[in-house]
Amino acid sequence: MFKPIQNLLAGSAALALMLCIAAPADIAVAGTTSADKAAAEAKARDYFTNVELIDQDGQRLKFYDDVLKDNIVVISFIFTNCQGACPLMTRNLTMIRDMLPGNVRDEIHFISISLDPVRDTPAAMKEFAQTHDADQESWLWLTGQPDNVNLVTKKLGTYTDELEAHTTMLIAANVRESHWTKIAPNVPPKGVAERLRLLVEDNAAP
Amino acid sequence: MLPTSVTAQDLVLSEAEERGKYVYETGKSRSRRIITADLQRGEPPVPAEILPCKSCHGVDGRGAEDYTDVAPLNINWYAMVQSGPHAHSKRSHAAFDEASVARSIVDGLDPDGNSLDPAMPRYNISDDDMADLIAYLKVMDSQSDPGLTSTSVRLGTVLPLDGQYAGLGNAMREVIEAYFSVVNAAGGVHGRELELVVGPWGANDDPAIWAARDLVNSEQVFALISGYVPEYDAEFAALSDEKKMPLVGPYTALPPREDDSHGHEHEQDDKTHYSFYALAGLAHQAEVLVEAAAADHGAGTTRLAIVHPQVASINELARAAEARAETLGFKSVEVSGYAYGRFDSAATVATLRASAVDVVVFLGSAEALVEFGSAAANTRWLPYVMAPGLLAERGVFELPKSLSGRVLLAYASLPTDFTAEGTAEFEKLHDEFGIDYAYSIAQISAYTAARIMVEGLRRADRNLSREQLVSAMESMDGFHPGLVPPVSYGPDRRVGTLGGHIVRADLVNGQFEENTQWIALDDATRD
Repeated sequence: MFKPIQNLLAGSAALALMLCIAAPADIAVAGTTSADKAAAEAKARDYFTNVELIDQDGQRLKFYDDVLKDNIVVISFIFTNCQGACPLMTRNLTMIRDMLPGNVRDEIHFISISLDPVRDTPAAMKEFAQTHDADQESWLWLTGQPDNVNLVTKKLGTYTDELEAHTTMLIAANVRESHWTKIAPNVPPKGVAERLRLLVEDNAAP
Repeated sequence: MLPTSVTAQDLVLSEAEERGKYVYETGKSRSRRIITADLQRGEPPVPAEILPCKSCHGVDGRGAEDYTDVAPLNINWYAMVQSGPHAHSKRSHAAFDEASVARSIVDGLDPDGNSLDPAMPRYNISDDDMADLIAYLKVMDSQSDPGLTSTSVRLGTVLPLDGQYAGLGNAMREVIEAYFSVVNAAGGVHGRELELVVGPWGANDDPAIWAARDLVNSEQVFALISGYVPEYDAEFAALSDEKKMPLVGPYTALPPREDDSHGHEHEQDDKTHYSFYALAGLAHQAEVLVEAAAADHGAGTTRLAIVHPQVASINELARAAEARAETLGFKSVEVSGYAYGRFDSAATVATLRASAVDVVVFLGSAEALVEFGSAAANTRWLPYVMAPGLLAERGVFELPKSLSGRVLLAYASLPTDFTAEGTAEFEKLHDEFGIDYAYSIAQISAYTAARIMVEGLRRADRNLSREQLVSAMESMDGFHPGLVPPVSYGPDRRVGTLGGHIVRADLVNGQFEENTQWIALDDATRD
């Protein structure tokens, strides 16, 4: 007699029970003293977590420690099957990258996070990055376990079930200074470049 | 992890096909005879090189859908000569043949004499060039699909070769490879050797579906066979549709339920065109149980209850059972869902007993089933209890003996389906290739998928294309893959064995009764 196939359904059940993650809290924290900064960093790490993501080269990264910590980041959200805004948005970002003065550009970490981790394999992300001339060391194309990636996009407030309606908002931050900003999609590339320059200046400030 | 490198297609064209390809792609003849195109009646003809076939129908002949005014049609040979009628927006016609294809190119008429869209030029072309062009049209589609060469067809599968499920994945791989070796030793299929490429997963936590995506995106496989991607069955099928790549026999208990005429709407993307499942799934088994209840007890006099945990995949089973029960007209149908992991057997028994339920279709775990049966027996309420074998088998002989004779399980397939030929071959594969019998269910699934795939490839002719394989699969009617019931497919059918065996449990002796009953769900065998 046939033996039952165990575990065949376990995954579906687990998916059905997947936890709903709370809406993102206000993530802007002002820090002045070094004690404040340490506290702010602990809080930020606690909030963003060190969930594992995978970059376009298959490297496994801890989201807070390896991606965000101490960095100046500009974060965009894409999926590789996107027929709409993603390619355009990515092209804008490469334009912005190219118009930044060298000393600013060197400080900026570009981060593009998949909104469709089930379909976006690291290889697919790499291909997308290459297509857009954006496969470079300072530009992370992140995907990962769907639960992990969705956790991150939820924390950033950009998680969506409806891919075609996804956000084209950019998030830019000087993480060390706990300075977080959202940049609306209609800001022209020059304006975005200027915002990024200001974030870099945060570091230089006394 | 990407599979090993892509190899160039080496399908060798004959000289005539090569000359025809030149005509198709350039609008010119190797013989330097001039080919011209009439664009509009009364206007002087233009050189065909301005408007070669390729410019509208594409390098692969598949036409295009995104032209604003006209839609250059798919002119792959197999699509054109397929038996009609061929319906287009403004006309419909019978199948093409060589003569009518030539006439359409020269005179702009379809096989029924209707005028083609004026956007299709009328060509002035010599008979020799036409013969070359037609020779090329016949093989063009096999040129365009990756994974195919003149001597090989490369088939992909997605299996866990490392990690928790490595044993299962490797067992499936071994069986498919062994079967392919046997087929290849006998000359392959239409002169092509079968090659298996595995998209492996399990070495890390990456989603199994990524292995499938990377394999498919590598563009080196012609079609997909078998595969085990738990949690991602629907995505696997969607992927095969997205890439228009046939998928035969994935290992899953949850194929889509497509023969659903019972009013419960499915989302559009549940329908998959390129995925061919071997066996009926759990939802089908739930329906089989309901059919069996009606056959054994008479629907009109029977009170039926469906008990299930509230989990997305199982809710689907319950809906399938309920829809089938409504069609059959039971005296009453009661659906009792419980929170996953929190089954209250006493309360459920009390409720169902109070409404004098005769038959319970139980869709919970084996543990929940045992609790339910014990609670029922404790109150001396002895309903018929029916459950899918896949879910319930582990617990069935722990049920109280007072329920003996009243417990029935449904299975998509049983050892009674084994043919002598299938058994002999399956054993021979194990003997000759040193495969052990661990994971035999998965191995049977893999073997079944391999046999169905090979049958599909055999039914397609040598000018193979993915579309042609789909059509060949659809022509399968009652093909016996050896170890499971005969499979049939059709234009609207993607599950091979639509039905299930009903098996009665002898709880006193702790065994299943010898006599089993096949209940078919497809309309052909249902009155």
